[in-house]
Amino acid sequence: MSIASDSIKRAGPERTTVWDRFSIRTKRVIWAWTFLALPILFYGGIRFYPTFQAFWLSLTDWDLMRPAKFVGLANYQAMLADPVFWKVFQNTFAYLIIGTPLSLVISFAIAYYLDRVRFMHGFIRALYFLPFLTTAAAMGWVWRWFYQPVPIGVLNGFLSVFGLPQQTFLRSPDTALTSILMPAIWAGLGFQVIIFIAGLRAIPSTFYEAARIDGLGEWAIFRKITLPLLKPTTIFLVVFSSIGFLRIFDQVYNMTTNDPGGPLNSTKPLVLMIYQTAFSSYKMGYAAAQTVVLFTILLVVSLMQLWVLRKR
Amino acid sequence: MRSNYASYFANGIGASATGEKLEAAEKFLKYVSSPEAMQIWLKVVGELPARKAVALTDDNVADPIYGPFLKGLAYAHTTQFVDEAGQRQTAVDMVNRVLINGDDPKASLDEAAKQEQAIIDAAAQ
Repeated sequence: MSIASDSIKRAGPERTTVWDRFSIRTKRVIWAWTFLALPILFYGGIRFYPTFQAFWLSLTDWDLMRPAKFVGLANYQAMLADPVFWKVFQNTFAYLIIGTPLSLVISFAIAYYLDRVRFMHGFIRALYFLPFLTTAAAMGWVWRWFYQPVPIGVLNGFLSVFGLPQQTFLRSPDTALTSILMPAIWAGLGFQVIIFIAGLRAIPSTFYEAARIDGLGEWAIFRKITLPLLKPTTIFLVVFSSIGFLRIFDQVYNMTTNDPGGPLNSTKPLVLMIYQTAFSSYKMGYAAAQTVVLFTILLVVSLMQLWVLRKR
Repeated sequence: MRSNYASYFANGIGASATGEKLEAAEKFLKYVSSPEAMQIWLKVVGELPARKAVALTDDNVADPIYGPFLKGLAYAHTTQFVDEAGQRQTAVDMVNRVLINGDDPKASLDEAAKQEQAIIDAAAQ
């Protein structure tokens, strides 16, 4: 008893600091901000600061060797006048507009039916997920060999066995983009299937039971219950895969290394153009201007999708 | 215009080398640039010697494989690269325009020359 009262006395008035005068609520806020400060500083330093610097760089002619000189909007003027840029712009949207809907429809169909399969469900799901774990570079090279002409290419080998005409795949400007898009869609499928299955499982089964008791048909159940309740999952996947297709690089670069983005720029996406401008031609200012365009596209597309698919 | 393409490389010693390592490097460099090492290099590796005295011996010039290359050096030029990937791309596209699109070779060549000149002009600024 005496020890306890002693220590209370010692901790009395003379130990009161500024900190003690705060209420518990204020202290909690201070601690929260102390912990939050770390990620904020981190992101500020390695994400936001370089982002803003890229905007400044896009107005200069920096080439790594000489100090950057302000050139106004010259980089943007050069970009708008460059036919290759417009070709690349078109390709980037082709990847997005074909890739996103196609991959979502396929992965939804797989998820919808896989969800009902009981036999070897986990194994089949693992098979779909496997490509997602594979390095894009390795996958790009394997598919590149699939697409070769007969003695090497498996796909053309199949066609010749059945007496069908040979396909050009990566070697023609008309088919190259689709040929690159297919493995890219296939690679992302596993992830989308898993997310869709999780979304489907999250819909309470009582809804389905009630609907069936009320005599609703399968199609009506699908349209009135499954699709609306799957909306948050769909929004997430649409935004996620759109950003993925807008940033496509690995597959293109690895499948066309001899003529990156070729033939005749028919497969070159914006990211590959930025990469070449910056790290092959060392035009950092021009590359930064292209990056600003990519940033704007990503921002606009993401905001548009969030707006279209918003909760009403 | 009669012209041929040639590229070359040079060996050197790193500026930070000192003492024993510098001596060893000097010795090695003296050897690889000696006439007899150049002759061996030509025979084994197939790259042309930098010393005219070694390169233009009667034996070498008469050789069916590297003889023509050695004679071609008299009017050879090294491409001036200001953007190696960019300039290479103009040549790749030039060939693809003819092979894939079936363009006229002369027109495709002119187009490539124009693009290459634009790259060189932009770098000269």
